[in-house]
Amino acid sequence: MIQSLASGDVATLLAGEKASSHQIELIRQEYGLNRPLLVQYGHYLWNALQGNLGHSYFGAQTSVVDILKTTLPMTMTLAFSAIILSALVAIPLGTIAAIKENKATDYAVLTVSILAVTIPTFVLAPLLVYIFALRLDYLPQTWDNPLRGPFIYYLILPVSILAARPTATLVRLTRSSVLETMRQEFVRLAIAKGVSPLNLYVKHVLRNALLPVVTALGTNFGYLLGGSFIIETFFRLPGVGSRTIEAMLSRDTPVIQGCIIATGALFVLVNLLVDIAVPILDPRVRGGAL
Amino acid sequence: MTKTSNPPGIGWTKRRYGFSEIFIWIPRAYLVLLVLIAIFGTSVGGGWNGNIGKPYVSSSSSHWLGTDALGRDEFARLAYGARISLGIGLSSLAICVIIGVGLGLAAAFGGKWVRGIIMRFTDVMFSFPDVLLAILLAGILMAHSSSDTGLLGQLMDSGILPVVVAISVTSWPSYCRLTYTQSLAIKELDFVEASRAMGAKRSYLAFRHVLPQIAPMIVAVGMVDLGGFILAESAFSFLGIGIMPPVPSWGSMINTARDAMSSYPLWLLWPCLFLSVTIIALNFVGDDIRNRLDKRSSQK
Repeated sequence: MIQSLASGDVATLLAGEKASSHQIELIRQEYGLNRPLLVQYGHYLWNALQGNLGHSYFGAQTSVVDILKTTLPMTMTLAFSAIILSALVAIPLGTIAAIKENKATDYAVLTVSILAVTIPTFVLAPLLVYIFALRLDYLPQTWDNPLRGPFIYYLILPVSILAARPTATLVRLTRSSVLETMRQEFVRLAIAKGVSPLNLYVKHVLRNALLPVVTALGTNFGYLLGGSFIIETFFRLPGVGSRTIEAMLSRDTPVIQGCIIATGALFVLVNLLVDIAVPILDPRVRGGAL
Repeated sequence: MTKTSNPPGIGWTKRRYGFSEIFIWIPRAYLVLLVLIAIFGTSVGGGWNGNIGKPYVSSSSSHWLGTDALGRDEFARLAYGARISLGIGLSSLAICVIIGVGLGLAAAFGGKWVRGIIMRFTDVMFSFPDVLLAILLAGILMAHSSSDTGLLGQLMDSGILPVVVAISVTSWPSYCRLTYTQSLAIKELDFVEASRAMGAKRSYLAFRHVLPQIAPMIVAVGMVDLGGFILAESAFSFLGIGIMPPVPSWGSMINTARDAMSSYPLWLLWPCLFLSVTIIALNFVGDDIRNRLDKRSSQK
């Protein structure tokens, strides 16, 4: 609804500069833009429930659902690979930093993570592209159509850049969570019983320390979706983010609406998954004790 | 955390001068320098929107950092970008603080209904990822040429106003929640209780007793957030939904320099460097203020 309020006069835009006021009026009727806003919104909702999100104002007037079908897989691949990558990197690194608390390894990990948090995505992106794509020529600079190599080859840079920030926050979270867990009684008991170090960290400490990390995965996913707008635009990847920006620049309201609904739904879905996963991982939550 | 507490009886931590001091003074010096550049640097070498000359001239005495793709002075444009970034960051921060702290105090001191409405609304704002919402807002409010030629029209056309609105609308809730929770705690302290017993009005309590107590914390959070706002502005401009040409912004400069990256990497480096160093500096300064606050409150 916000869009309808602020997007300017679409009919005037569609009719072109030379259109007479009569033509504009005709277009307005055709697209239903002359009805009251609430009626338009209700109509949109009714259609959306039936899986019809309207169609693009411009070009071949592709339906928004079709646009989403082609762009959403790219964004989901990007976001999910990034979140998995950051979890895979952050959890071991954070644990190691916690084990080596206040030693050189710890400080090195923390410094790198501070840098990764503060350096903006679109500064890191050109830097890495310059090194790996232009100087070393290992990886492609942007998306090619058609692809000149395997799919994954094109994803390495975008995914690792997108994952940088969540990785850094997760490292710090894992570190503090592991430290906190290690101070608890049951860990001391395990040590006293002579559990081997590997077993201690994996079975006793991490199992308990990972709960806040899993929750943070969900909230970080929101950042990833926002970051994918920038990454997709930078690498010219055909995903929802770059499509939304394109639609914003041409004031293609139905496409913007559809894309935003899709990303919003994705965010809600991931957080729902997290909410389901947490009680499975931690029996304490199930009992309502926490 | 190792506990190196002071010997009992000594109330003020002796300031350590040493290596760590560098991390406090360099960021501050940089920020002062940046403000000076933003104020005085925009007319160097023909000005930020000067005559269109030769593109990509390398640095010389007349053009300190050379010229951009359209032959305008790179340094002056970076300086103007600094002015835009700082201006947008500070004004968004001011709006966030005024709205957030105002509503937070209202929620803490108001009746049940006022509190309910304000805090539920804040919860709603929190539940949606703010980056996404900000991009959405910026894209929708995005500058469309208005017929207004006054100051408002100019702010609209250059994209400054839409960016400020997009940032403020998505960022005030954290200030509101911070103010609310802090005020609730301070409200119960004895000196506030005493003042209330002496018949002070709620507005007096809010502004004379509670607000001064939470102000330093707001400043510390604000410094770090300022970096975030500058980053957001650059991100919008990078995506093409922020500041509109010919007005330069670090973000849009990064975007244009990207196309010529292979032949002119330096032109990409400068805006990137300014942006990241500024954000890092603001983070350091904010952390420093917060550390001092923590020290002060733990000594009380």
